[in-house]
Amino acid sequence: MRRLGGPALAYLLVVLLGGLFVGVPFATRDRPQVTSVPIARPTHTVAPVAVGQEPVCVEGVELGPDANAVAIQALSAGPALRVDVSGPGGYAASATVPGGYRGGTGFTVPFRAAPRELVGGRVCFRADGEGTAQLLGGTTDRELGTARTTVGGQPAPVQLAVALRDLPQRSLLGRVGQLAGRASELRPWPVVGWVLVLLGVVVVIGAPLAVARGLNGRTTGD
Amino acid sequence: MSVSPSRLRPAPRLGTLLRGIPTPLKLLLLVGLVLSWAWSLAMPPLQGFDEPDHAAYAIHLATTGHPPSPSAGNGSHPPAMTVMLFGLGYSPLKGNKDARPPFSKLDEQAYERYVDQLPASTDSQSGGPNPLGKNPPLYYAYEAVPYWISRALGAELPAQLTWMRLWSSLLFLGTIACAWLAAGEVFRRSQLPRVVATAVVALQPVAGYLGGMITTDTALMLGMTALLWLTLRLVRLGFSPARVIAPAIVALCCVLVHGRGVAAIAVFFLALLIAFLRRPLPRHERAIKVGLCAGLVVLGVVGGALVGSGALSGLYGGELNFGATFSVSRLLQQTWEFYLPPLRFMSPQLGPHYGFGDLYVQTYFGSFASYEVGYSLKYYDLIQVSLVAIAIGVVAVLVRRWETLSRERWWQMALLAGFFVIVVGFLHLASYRALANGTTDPLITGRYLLPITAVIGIALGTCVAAARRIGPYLGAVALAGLTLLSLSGLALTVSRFYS
Repeated sequence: MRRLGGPALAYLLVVLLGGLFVGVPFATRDRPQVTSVPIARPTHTVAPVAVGQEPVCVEGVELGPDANAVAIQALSAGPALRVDVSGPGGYAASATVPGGYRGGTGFTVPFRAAPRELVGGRVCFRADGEGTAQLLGGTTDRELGTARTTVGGQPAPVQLAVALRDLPQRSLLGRVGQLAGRASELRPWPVVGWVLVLLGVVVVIGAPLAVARGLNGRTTGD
Repeated sequence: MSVSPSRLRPAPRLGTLLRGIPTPLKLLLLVGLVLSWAWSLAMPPLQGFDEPDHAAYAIHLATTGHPPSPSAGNGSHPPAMTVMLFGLGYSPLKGNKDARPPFSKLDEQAYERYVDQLPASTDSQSGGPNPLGKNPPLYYAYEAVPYWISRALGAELPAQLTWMRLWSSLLFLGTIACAWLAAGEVFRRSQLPRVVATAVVALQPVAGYLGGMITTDTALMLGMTALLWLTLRLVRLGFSPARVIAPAIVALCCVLVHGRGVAAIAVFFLALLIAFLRRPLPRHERAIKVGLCAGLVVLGVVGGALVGSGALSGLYGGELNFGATFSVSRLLQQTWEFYLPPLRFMSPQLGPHYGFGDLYVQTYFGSFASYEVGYSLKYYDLIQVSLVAIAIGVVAVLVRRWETLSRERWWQMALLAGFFVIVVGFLHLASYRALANGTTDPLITGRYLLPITAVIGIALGTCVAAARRIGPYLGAVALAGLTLLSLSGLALTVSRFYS
């Protein structure tokens, strides 16, 4: 390749600096790993889900080795909560949220993960003591996913917002393979994980080099 | 009839054609291709702006030969798409940052179980109501091709949607090529400004994003950029049959892609006017007159046929009118208040507070997925400062070289400025019309500005060419900024959906 001219070098320098000071911190910062979101937090209409002695469950949840914590949010102060996670084949786990939390607090409650992928699991919450907890939920159809909330076994009018996570936090860079695998779901052949990783490399490295080479045109007489 | 050997020249091979493409353009086409394909594959299915409705239109057209109805019908989306949207959760995923697409093989198996239960050939059950049924069919006919082929090869809906996206990205490549040609009309032998102008189109973050989606925006961007090139050529070289008919056909295609394409007609007639003022028609050149007339006749016949058939009243869902409450002074006030603080005598702005920064900065440069993915606010400030700097640079160039430009290039400047004003003015008109008729949505967003991206690129290229010492460096830095924005947009999108 012929020597790059001033503008091409300036271009590459700015891209490189941007990558170093913005891109690298973004890619290497640890962040929560979401395994699945049975019912997402509402985008518009927030509604409380009252959790007392009667179990409030989210049914139709997918469990597995990567789901070892459940994330919820309390709308107000409330009692301790017991979390029971169960699935087909006799899998069951439980955890407790201590009382004394404030309104607006988000919890990530760890539990023992299922040893294998389980479809049709359930995550249930009930107050562990006196009082009622108010958890974040939504009512509009827009927030309805594939899972459903039940109270005492009956369909509930308000859907409890629940996400399953994989602890501990990890960076995007450390999970490139997993992210590519997720992006390749429901894609036709040959769109598989490693192809997407390759495409990502071409985009991040190849595209700036191509632009720099294009900017070099004047000095090389193209 | 004998044919001379020279007429039997073999068609040029693909390799020869590709070798004929200038290296910088080849490289920028490659950049556009990988960016748009990365967007196609990074975005989960059906998450582009109105993508389910666009895809459903194309599928219905492909299976029945008719567009869906905007108001009634046997289903808004094909049943398999409805399963994806509501069974697999792609509908609640839209616009909700806390939601995630289905990740696992189990989800894929669940989808296949759902779809296996559907009766065969249900794709035609998408006759409406589809709000995009008011759109003309040209883009959807184009998208019917990958649908047909992938269906014939046994692909299911998710795969069909991916192929439709990848096919749509070819329109983005066409846009880059047309931007190169348009910039060539302005910069002629100056290579660097031409590369900079074209690279602005290839690297514009939202253009790359939409280049990878199923959407009419990409087709309209291609049509308008092609029109820019052809009209720049027309005003430079003067009238000939081909130079008039080609932009007329392209303008017609824009009209047949989307309602916003109506602006192309005004651009075409502006170009005719400028070309005529620059070089009045020679009296005895019949071919030129015939060409000019033919171009006008194409538009006239089609327009007349549409009016005569009563179709025009229903064109774009009956939205091709000014509405009952139209007022020129109110339109001007509304447009003023979009850019500047209101004067004392002005009425309050109609609709929500929405202005320059929302349109030209936030949604034109950095709104992805369903607007929920964007940069940190400080980067929008940086974009805004950069845009103002470019605008000041263009004004400085105009002031410094006014005498030369107004004498030698007035026709080019008039067309470029007119193109910008017509496209943006049409958006303000449509927005005012909607707000004056009671909607609360200003109906004006950054992706509607994509057709003027080549003009913005040419403006930057002009600054690069004018400031000979630092211009190339400023252009390079601007392109580096666009590159970083594009890559950041992709990274943020991947993080939003898959982390």
